Amino acid sequence: MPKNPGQIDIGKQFSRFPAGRTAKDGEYSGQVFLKKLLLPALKNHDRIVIILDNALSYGSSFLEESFGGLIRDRILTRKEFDSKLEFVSSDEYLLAELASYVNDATERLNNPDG
Amino acid sequence: MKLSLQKRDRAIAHVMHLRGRRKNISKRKRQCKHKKTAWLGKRPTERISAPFAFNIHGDQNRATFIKFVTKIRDAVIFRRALVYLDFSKPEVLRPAAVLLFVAELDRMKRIVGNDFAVRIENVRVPRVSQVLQQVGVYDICGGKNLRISEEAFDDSVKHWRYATGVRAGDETNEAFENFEGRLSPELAKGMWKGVSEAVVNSVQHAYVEPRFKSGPRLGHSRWWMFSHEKEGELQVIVCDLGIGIPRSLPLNWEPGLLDRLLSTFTKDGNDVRSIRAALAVGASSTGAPHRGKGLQQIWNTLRNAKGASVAILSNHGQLSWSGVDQKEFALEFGTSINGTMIIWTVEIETDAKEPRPN
Repeated sequence: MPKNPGQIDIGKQFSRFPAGRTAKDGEYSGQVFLKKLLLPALKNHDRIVIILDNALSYGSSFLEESFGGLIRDRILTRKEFDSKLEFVSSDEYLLAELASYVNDATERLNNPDG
Repeated sequence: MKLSLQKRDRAIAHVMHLRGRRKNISKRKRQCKHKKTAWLGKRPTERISAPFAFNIHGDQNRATFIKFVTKIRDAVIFRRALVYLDFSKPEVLRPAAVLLFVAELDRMKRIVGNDFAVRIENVRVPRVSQVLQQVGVYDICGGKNLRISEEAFDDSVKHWRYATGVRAGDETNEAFENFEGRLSPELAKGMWKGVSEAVVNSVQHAYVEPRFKSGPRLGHSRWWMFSHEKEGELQVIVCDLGIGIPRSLPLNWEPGLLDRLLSTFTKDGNDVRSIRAALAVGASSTGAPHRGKGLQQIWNTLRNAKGASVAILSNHGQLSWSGVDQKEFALEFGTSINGTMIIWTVEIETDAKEPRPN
């Protein structure tokens, strides 16, 4: 059991309409989500459950920046990512899409020339 | 010469009037100098006749419509003229063309600021006047005297909605909430994915270079959006007035690589080939491999929904997918919209709840 579990409900705590990559793209972009919610939560909790269902849907840029960005910017290793974050959604395609961005970021980090 | 008192007073009044006018002009000149804006002196007046059809999906109508918009743009931006738009002819208003018209007017107003003076006159068809009011043309051009009560609006006009903004945020969310209730949850999800990516794409890629070779720039990234309901269908359109995909694509990809890719789409015109290439490789302007999936999501997100259609228009090209016919259509036009427009059409549920009031 993790010592200090946390939870982020993106739809309720951040926005029902998350969109975009950088703060320039939008008020509820991946970069803003990282800065306001995810990074502080990572500091305070060993394990975080992220609930995806209450937001309407997620564009590729938001998902890639929020979660692929954690690996790409070396904030977490892939091992830490898997152990610290748990995603909950009734949409299996969304979970698969999210996993693909995280896998791509890991792959690019491991094979920068590939 | 001795004047009667009455004549003397009249002469003095005339002199005072002229003096007042000169004083007023001097004051306006000083204000212009202070604000660093051009002194217009005697402003030219131009009358431009609007075409019968506002339509950008057919070659002939499109050419006439684009010519009309170009005339307004030249008069307002380059000659700072007072422009009267004669609306006695228009009878057919297609949403995409109306959005382009509103977006162009809004862009002009933002560029020339207080010098913007476009007036609408002679609107003959009541429905045309209702649409112009509903989509905000009268707000932009100041057509207070033309306004009518919204209760008298035709049903087909009541559901036109217009929004604009500089990034994805509260304006986009509010605009989306206006029609979200008309969609099934699955369609709403797909639609939001597409709309938000279109808005983000316009912010990231559309304004990286000047839109035209000469003339002032807007100075920021802006998108415009329409939603429109008719006969069980909802149409959502997002547009930007930037450089378009055909111009942004070469900025991001090595010429050799891009040429090889473009050469695989031999049947199409140049701009349609660019749209296809952007869909194939992503449209990242950063060259970073983790970016550029937005356009693919825009294109693919609603393809499986029943009766859904999507169209990407950029400069001269148009690539559409019709869910009804399960076919792709590509068109290369002689005239350019000088920007990018994405159009989604979906069937709406007749028993869905009413849209939230504004």
